[in-house]
Amino acid sequence: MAKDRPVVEAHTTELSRSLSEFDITMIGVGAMIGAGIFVLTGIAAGTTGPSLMLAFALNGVVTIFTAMVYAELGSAIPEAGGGYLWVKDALGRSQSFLAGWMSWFSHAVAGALYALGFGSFASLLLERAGWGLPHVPVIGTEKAIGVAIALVFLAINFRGASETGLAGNIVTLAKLTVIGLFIAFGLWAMITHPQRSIDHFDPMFPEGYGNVFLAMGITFIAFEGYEIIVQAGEEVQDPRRSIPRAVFKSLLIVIPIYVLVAITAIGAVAPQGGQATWQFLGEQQELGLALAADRFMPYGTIVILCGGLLSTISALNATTYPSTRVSFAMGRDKVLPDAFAKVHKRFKTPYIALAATGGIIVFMVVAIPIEDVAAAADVMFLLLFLQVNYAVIRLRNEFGDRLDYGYLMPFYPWVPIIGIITKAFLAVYLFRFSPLAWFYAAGWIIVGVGVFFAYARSRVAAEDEPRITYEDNAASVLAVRCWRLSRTLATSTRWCVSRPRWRLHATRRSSCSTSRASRRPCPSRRDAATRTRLSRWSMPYALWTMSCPTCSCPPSSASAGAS
Amino acid sequence: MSATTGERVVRVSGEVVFGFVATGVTLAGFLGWTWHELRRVDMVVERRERRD
Repeated sequence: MAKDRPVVEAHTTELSRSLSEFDITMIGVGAMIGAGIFVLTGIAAGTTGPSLMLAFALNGVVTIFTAMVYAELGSAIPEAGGGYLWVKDALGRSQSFLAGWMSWFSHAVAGALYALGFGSFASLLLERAGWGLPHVPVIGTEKAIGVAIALVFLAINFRGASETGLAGNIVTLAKLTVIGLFIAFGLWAMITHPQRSIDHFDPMFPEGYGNVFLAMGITFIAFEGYEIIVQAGEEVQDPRRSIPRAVFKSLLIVIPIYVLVAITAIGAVAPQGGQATWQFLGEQQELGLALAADRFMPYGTIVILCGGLLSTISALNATTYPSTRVSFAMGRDKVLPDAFAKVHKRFKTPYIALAATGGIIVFMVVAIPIEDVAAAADVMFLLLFLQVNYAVIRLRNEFGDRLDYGYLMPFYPWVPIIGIITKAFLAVYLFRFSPLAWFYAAGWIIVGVGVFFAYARSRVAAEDEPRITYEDNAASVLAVRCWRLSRTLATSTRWCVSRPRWRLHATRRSSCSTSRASRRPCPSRRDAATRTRLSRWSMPYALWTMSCPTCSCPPSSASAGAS
Repeated sequence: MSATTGERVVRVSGEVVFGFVATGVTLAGFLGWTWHELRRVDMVVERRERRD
């Protein structure tokens, strides 16, 4: 056993571990079922026709590649921040800042979209019930309702993770019930009128085969709930087992529901005037599903509107949560102001990050044309997943033997490579749907780059220090002190002793120190590229060769391994 | 209704059959693979716990 077991200088601010596997599964399901079913089904059906069901199924396959990446890294590095932290560990601070910046804003924009969706559904429901609200000047009734519901869920998030999980579970289960009713009535209508239902699917590809990919890109935001699951990593009980299981369970629940809803929406509805079903759904846009339900289900529109309200609430809850946690993690990493890392003493929630995220959501609900911005969020999610897919390759290559995985993806590295290719393809294809989305995405990225160079970069240089020490080993203590001295003397060498490398060495209790090291040299010794980089500065190199921070294997084996 | 046998007949075009088969195969592949990966989580964790 290694004498110098690493002791992590842990984060000074910690979140409470109160979420069970069921809770985070429901968070993932709640995040996914919302936009995809109630808001985007009509739009996507109008784009691709009856082949929407195939688009949903293919999106499930595309999703599983990146979901496996998230399951692996979420089980190995279960910390608030998710993809942002992994990109930081693998690709460095500038890339990670960009990842966090995109993740924060894309989730906030998605939250604003759901708040507006809630406002739209609530306004129509009240109107149907004969309780139409008076027009709100300047912003309109729908946006006023959207702002109100956003503020309510920000307050719930402020109360704490357990309350969030409970509220989310109730809403998600109720929503699944509504969707189940829609599917059951729809299938019954199809069974009783088989020929009519089959005719609704002919032609299957009225807009051509290429529009299937377009529908996949449009609805992609409805498949990224697994990303939100890993954001909760720091607040989950037994994260190594719970996180990957929740990722796969949520997908197993959601994807068949999507396909069944697409089948029943197309097959069970009989529009008047000989209009094709998919054209009817496309014309009605986000209200297409609600209006379609009235054709085969008693009180269908009312029931689906209620489901839409629950869905948008649930999705709003599920997107506010990660958006807050990413900005919290960035504040903790000093790339955003320290206030973002503050945790409320009583509720243990990052209240400043929550307030800032709430400000973004409310501003977007009120001031920005949300459809194009939501499409931009789609593009940014895809770009974020590109980074994470690349990050997992780097992390496995550099730290694979030292991370304590709860799940390991098969067919490495082909899974992340296919994930990169498919995400890049969908992102490029989205330009055909909304060029504005790409312009918005580019604008946000440019602003983010400006913030990094104007603010975050200098703060990183001042604060970049390993948060690890080693006990019971004088040489290691000396090594860390030498490192600090070298840090003072050679500020320009910060990249050569990059914090992620040291953090990972210390925070993952090494498996190579017990079994693997006895069979072969520690992989860190065989990292010739790192050794070459370190040799350019004497002090870091001396530290590197003094003792292996992972398994304290002797320098002789290091030489052998390196050679 | 079929004129000769009296059974209910549903006419389906080749494109519709292709769409449903493609969707079914894709969905089945997705479900099978995801279920397999879900089982692998338990296997990896149990193996690690036994080793530790």
